[in-house]
Amino acid sequence: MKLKLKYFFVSIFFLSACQKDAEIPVDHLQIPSWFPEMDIPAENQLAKARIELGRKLFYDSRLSRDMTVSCGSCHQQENAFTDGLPIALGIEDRLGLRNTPTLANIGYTDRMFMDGGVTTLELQSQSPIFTHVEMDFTIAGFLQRIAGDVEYERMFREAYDQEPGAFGISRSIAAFERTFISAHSRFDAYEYQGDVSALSEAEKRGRNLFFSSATSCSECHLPPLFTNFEYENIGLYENYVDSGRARISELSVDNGKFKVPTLRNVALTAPYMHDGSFETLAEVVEHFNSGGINHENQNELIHPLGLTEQEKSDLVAFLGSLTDQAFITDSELSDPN
Amino acid sequence: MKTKLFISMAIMAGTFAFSGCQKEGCTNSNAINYDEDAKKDDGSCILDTDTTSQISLHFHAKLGTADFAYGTEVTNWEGRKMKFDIAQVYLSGFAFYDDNGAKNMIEDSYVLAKAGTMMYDLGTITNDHYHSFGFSVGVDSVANHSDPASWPSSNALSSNNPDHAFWSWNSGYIFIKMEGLVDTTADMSGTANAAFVYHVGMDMMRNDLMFMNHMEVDEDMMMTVEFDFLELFNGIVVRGNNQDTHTMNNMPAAMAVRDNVPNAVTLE
Repeated sequence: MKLKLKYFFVSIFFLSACQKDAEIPVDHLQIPSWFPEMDIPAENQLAKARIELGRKLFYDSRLSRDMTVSCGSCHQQENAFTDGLPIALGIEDRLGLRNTPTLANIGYTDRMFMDGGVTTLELQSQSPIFTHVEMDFTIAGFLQRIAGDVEYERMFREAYDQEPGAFGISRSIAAFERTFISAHSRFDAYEYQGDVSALSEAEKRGRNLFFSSATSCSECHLPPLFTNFEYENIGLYENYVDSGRARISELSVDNGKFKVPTLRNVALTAPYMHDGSFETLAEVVEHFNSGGINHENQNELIHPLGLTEQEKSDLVAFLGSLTDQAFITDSELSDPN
Repeated sequence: MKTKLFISMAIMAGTFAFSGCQKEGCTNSNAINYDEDAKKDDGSCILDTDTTSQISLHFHAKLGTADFAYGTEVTNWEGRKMKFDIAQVYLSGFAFYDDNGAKNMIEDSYVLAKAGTMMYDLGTITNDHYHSFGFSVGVDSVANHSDPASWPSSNALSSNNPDHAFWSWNSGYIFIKMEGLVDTTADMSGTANAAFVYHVGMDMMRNDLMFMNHMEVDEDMMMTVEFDFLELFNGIVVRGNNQDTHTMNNMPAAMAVRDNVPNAVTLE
């Protein structure tokens, strides 16, 4: 009996050897109990070596043609991984298409970009490298630049048991981005951890309004992630220059629809909307209070709300409680170079 | 005794485990030792040279009747001068068809054909008498929406490829990529000095071409394809709004290029 058990463990040992050490899930995802599980692709299970490689690449401006732009140039940690600009700027200050989205909790979606045109983080992580108005470069060009870089070679080997290449680049950046979990705002302390003093009275009033049928904010900005990841038209324009989701679906019913953004850290991610057209949260709240432009694709929840000045102020206060100081100061997410 | 048995079992378990991980073998269905369970080719394929032949592509790029030359001023259908700095195209799905129309495909035959580079290996095909030969200008929809980082580095679709051309969104690969300079004067009296950029892709832009060409495949052979990049601009006034297309931003220009493809490609 003992012998059989020993063979069993030996077999288990060898079978587990199929997974390289790097593929064994590690405890780098600090997911709180009130957050959902995160789906992670089997081919890119999280590992310390992968996350570290992705982190190094995320902040490496050699990924851009003129070596001036890294992922971290537009996704700045202190701004909850946004850049404070209406529209993102690439190399040579080339104007991008849209406002830079936050990467907070990005690992929870399979809808990348505001139009959902890319469905995996692994593919999305390559896109800025190719895009003319972002990095305008090639992976092959980057590989030439790091040829002979002993540290990178070691890191790719440890992470994916491969030479430096597109696979490791795309997978490791995705792995790093999956660690961008923001779950420690004052709202979280109040709502999920029982700290009733975590919110001010104004924030509490704003919270109640946010979750009430009087505003229906939480119908789309669903906690705990504060998005339902759907595409919605919120009545910004009669004619959208950027067709949003319709760009991908080519359906007129999707014209002017954009992915519902998370509101976590929203006080840090101004300006707002897909085109950065609102500078302050007060303007955003006023837009929803006005009921929008009444576009034919506009979500029916967007209608005049008749909020008082106090109520609008309370809503803005509440949105400020979604700021996660730990997230924007987490040294594990900062530039390691 | 128990110790020896234990070691033996351990070795067997290890062997099983490691071989189970690799799933390597011969992935070429034309090989006599083809392993349908193999996920990764281990170089062990044995081809019966009596029954299969190696097919290569001779890509003969042209600008009208002249051989293609980068940076050389040529005159298009309208009399407008153009110069090419980039001219490349994804070709795929190379296949032979027998007299009954049955398709014999060269597996994973993706080529990123660049003007100036003539020879490309396509793969192997079973020796037979064939009625026609076909391929696509563009990439099949499954591969077109795949992750370019997931292809082996040697594959034309891999983003490790220096000339790799892929869009950020779900549009996929840039099937036809042409950049250069064009004379934008209304009366075409100037020189080619303004940039043109033609990036044509998306599933609907693929052309599936078929050429009648009775042939006996009984030895390694080369298929010579002429590809006239200038013909792709036939009927297009390459100035103003038509100086560039990234497909989505100028669908009519991209569609005009697509529709010109059948006339731009000939099998020698």
